[in-house]
Amino acid sequence: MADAKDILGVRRKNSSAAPLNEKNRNTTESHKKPDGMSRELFQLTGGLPPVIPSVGAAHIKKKKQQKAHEPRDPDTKMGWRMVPFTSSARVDNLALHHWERLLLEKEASCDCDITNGGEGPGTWTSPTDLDHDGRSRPFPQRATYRIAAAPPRDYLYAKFNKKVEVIRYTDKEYAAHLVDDTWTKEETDALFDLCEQFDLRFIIIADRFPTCRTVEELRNRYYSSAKLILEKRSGSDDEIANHPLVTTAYDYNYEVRRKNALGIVLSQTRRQQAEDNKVLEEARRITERRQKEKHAKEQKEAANHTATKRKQSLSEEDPDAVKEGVTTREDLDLDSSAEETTNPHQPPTGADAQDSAELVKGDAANVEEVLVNAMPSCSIKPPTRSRRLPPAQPRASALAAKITGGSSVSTTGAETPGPEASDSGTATTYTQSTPSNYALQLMSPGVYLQSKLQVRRMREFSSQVGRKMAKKVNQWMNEFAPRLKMPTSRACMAHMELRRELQELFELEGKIKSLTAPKKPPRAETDAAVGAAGTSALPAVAVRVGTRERRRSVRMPNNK
Amino acid sequence: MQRGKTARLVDDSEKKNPVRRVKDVEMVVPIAYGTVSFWLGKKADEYHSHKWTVYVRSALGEELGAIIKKVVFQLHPSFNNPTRSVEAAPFELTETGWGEFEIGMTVYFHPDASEKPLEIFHHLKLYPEDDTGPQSTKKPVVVESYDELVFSEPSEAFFSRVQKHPALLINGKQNPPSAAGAVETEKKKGDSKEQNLSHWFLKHSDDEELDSIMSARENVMSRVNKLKADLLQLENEAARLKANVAH
Repeated sequence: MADAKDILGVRRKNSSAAPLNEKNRNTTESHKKPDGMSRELFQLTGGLPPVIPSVGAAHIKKKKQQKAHEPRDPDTKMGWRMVPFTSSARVDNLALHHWERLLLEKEASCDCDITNGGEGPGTWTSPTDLDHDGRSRPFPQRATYRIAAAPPRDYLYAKFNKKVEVIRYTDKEYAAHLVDDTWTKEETDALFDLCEQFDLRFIIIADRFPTCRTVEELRNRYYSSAKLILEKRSGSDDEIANHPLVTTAYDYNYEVRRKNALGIVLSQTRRQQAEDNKVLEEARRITERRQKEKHAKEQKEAANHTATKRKQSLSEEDPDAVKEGVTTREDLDLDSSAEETTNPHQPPTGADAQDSAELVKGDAANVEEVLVNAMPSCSIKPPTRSRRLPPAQPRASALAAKITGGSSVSTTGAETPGPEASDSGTATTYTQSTPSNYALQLMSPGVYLQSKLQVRRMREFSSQVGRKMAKKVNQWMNEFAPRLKMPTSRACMAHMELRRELQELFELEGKIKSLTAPKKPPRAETDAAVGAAGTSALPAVAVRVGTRERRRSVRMPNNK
Repeated sequence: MQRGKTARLVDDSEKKNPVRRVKDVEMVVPIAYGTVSFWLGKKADEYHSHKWTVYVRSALGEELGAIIKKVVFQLHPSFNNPTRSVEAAPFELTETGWGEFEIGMTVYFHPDASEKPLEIFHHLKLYPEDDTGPQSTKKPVVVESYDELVFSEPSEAFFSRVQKHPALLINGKQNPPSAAGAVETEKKKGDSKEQNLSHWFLKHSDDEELDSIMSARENVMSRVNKLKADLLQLENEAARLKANVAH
């Protein structure tokens, strides 16, 4: 059993090996040699497969098999030879030379005798006779090879010599069909010549065209002419029905407009783009807002009529002003963007609508009642920021203070120590008696795990008190207080209370230390003044009695 | 511009049907989750050496079916169908295996709660801490953790349905426990292999912790008070000195 554990690396009290997870079992060798690749080659790449395989594994294997299958005459081999070649793509008969890997066959006359068969010593083979092995050698084993006869092959890249088939009209055809007011015959001829020369690349043709014509004009002339000639030449329509010239006719006007629009889009500066986006954004927001207003109407009966009025006035408004209001409102409402979190929630601003004014006119209880009623009906996403309220302050006034205080609108976690009036009763529609010392934590609605909440509370605490204090508190807690194994509500609360008390304790300690710490006074007069006063002081209270005290004591002798 | 909407608006996801929530209500459902693992002894083979059960249950011994709709257990990928959904109470899953790994549990609530599912993680432990002696097929390795589901401002529909449920606390107040809960645990009697798991469930009580926290707090408070007194004394002295200097 112990061996099994050893193998698995199960954590023991005295060892520190981490338990081997089932996951490790299934480790696949991430770097597997791809099939068809030789092992050495793979290792050359550092044992990593190439990012994009240039040749598939199957392809490599296929090639190998192909090569293997060719039964070859033992008297033949493949070898490199410098040979002349021609290309069908050329119109002249230029014959260049290049190296080629060709099938070679042994010279029949090759024998292993010293006289070396066909080629005697001292014979010089001319360059045309490309049998290099035929040089005279005293070594008998050397065999000579010559190029095996093979059917002539065209130059490998000749197949890429594609040409566009440009229709050429005869003069008679021109006279019959292609006469045009805007185009002379010379121009048309020149156009067609250039088309043939440049493979219908109209940009180049336009550049080289003798007279000044736009690309669209040239295109139009060429395509319409070619199409016409084609139609006239073919007897019926069926033959040419599939010809691209017929299927896609060139539309001059459309093309001109399209190019224009494209030019505009591409030449828009960044600024213009931004403006366009902004306008689009506003439009989107307006539509969104309108939808939301519809919902708000359903919800709030009180503000029903004002909502409809608002919507009507909205559509007539200046987009800029709308945008302003939108950002303020939306960000308050949604609180989704970070930019506006500092925007104070101030109902009593003049610009706001009637219902908020109404609310403000009412008493504080009403304000918070409506607000609180409205607030939890939506899910609020912002992170909670717990506020430490002074003890025994009822929650109602806390809310009111928040509202008018202009702080962030997110709900707070109110943790009041000791007994607390949990329901102030004004703001809730639901009443239930709660135990007197149950501290409600106001978080955004939702479901949470208590342990996670506790972590969050601790983090908030740390951020509130500052790093040094938090560190001190944590140290103390780790030493003397147990880890919270059972995060019940009351245990969590008590835990947090303990932290607060610790904070208080440390603060006090700090204060006292600063008061009692011995410190060298900077100036001589201070020394004298304080010294005179300090002789009768308690031995515990040292020279430094606090800056304010010192200054006062310095000043007083002067004032006398 | 006359736009004074002080109301907060609903989330996009709830645009069509905003959730009505009960304010100032906090529902706490104490749960316990964990694993119970039995060594299979003679019947163990290389890949199935332990039989373990992972579960999510109410810490008060009550039924969670009214609150939890289903629990989806996410097991190690080497298991067949590693995503197991348990849609009825008891929310537990039994499996055989040989390795320890982290189990993810996603708790889905009933639709009327309008809540997102919650994720919990638990490390499955098969081997006991002290590896002295052979493992016993009778005593399992139990690792259980206590936690609480905190529903802040539950939806009205959900609340009205479960407010009297014995498995939860509302604003700190507990509902009367059900007799059914106690009966359930008694009923579960299978063969010796299918041991009554509830037998092995750990009892969770925060009394001990509370006590220690309370005593710590008292300690701290007494020190605070003493320091306050000291500070007061010092300040008095300082004032006195000041007065002396003034003469």
